[in-house]
Amino acid sequence: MNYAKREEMWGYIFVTPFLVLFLVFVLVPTVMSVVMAALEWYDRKPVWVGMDNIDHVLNDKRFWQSVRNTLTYVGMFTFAAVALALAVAIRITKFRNQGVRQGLQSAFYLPSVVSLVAVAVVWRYIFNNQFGLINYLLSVVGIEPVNWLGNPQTALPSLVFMDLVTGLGVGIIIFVAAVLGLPSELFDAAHIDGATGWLETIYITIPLLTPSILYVAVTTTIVAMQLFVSVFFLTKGGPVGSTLTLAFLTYRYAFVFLKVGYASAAGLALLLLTLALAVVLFRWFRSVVEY
Amino acid sequence: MLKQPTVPDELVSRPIQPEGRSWRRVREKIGGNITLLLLLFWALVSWFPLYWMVLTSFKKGQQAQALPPGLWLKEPTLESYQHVLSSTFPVLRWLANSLFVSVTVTVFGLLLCAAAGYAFARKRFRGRDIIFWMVLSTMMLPGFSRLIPAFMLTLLLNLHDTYWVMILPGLASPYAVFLIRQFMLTLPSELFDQARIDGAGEIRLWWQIALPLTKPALAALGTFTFVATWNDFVWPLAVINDLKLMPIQVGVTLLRGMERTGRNDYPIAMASGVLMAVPPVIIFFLFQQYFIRGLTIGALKG
Repeated sequence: MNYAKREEMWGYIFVTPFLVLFLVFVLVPTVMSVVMAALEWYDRKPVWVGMDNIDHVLNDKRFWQSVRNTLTYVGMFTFAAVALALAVAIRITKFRNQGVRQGLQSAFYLPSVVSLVAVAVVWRYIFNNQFGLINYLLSVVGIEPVNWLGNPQTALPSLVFMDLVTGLGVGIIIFVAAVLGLPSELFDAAHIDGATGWLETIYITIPLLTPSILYVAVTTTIVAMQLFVSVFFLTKGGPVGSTLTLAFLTYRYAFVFLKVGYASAAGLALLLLTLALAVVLFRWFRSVVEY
Repeated sequence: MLKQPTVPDELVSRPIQPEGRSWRRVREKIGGNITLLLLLFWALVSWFPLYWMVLTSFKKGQQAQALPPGLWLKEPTLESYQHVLSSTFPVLRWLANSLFVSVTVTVFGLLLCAAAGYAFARKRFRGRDIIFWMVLSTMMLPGFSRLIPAFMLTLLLNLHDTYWVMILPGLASPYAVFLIRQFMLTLPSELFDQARIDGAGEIRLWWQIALPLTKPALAALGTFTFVATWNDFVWPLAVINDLKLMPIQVGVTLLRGMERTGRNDYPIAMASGVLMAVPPVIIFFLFQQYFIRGLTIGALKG
């Protein structure tokens, strides 16, 4: 066997174990997620139902409500998360001491290591309308208690707040590394032109960070589109459907109503909607970046 | 290799010498302190729920409803932990299940993905770029949309209620392959040529040269995989019904105070929370430097 042939053979040997599992557990389910929207299952046997599932889901009021809720959540969360993480990260880079910077990065990352299940239950306690901490703090300043999770107006924003408190770690770490990696010549030039502090941040640092901002915005959007755990533990989609997300509806179709076909159609909607959002973000950022 | 980014001094210090501009320095000082205060405030806010969880887990049921709430420990009690650990449910078994699944996925997942990443980075074979592109493109898809298909697939394969169904899907991580490939692309070819001349076989090239040099990425990914597998909730919730096989995340939903919390249940729920939070936090502290670096490789080099 010649060298190139042997190289090729070893390439396949190294890649095959991974590829088999990738095909079975990633690629096949991805393809199935499209096909399954047209199937209903009876006792482990698929039956082709064409557009029936999709028709049903598109005519289900709860579906549209869940789309609205999911997009509202994603909009609020992604925007706030990127802005906050960016602000915190830029401040962290102002520390000269590398140890301090790393310590702060770790400190902000730690809360996202803790499981969402544990975090969600703590927050149910903090949000409790009788003896929860938030209402207590409000009562100290003389504000009436709010039923955070029981009021359709405040339930979804409460989930956004909770996820912001725990979910900024990755963004902060990426932004800190990105700022530290920027070429220093640009900052020198800006100093000569008299740019300092805020001006420098707004006109130099942030524009240069656009690729990282795009990366964080897209990955945050993908995660936020799948909001499930906090809904499962805190609100179960209520009150009056105000926190019903697409992911939670998918789960409910499949495991509460046992309608795998409907769930597949809703899951496909989740997939397409996420892709559409990612494309919109890419387009939008490309129009903003002027290199 | 990855270099730790260093901050050029110009970036940090901004001396403003010319006279008549000291007002600007004053403004900067104040502005800097306001942002510093905001930073510390946010750090406090993001740690607070964890502090609250630990604190409450040592309280008695009645104390947890006290107003004003006690912000630090008075008369700590282990009652809640005793309650959780002596419950009729096999809580220790759930913890052991989680540990077993997370360690297995981490070790074997890393091996598989490191082999694939090595092939994509350093071998030429037909279809390589198409396969790699396919692997990459699935990274952009939300995993949740695969939940129902993967559920049906594993049901048809009769894998539900086995350890396999928790382990196998976690092994093939596109993200890990991508990261390892990026890392291995930067290794100098001379190293491999030299070893080949010295008579090293293909397996040894991978095991003794490529892998040791990829350690930082592997450590980061290992931490990442362990934490993600330990914390995974939706997948085991869907496919595991057997009490004995449940991981802790799913098991605790059956405990008092988790899905619905009665008035006196908060300390118990918090104790369960602490028990399942401890292992990932320990792993994070052990490997935090790798973890932070690993997260940035993908973002900055991709």
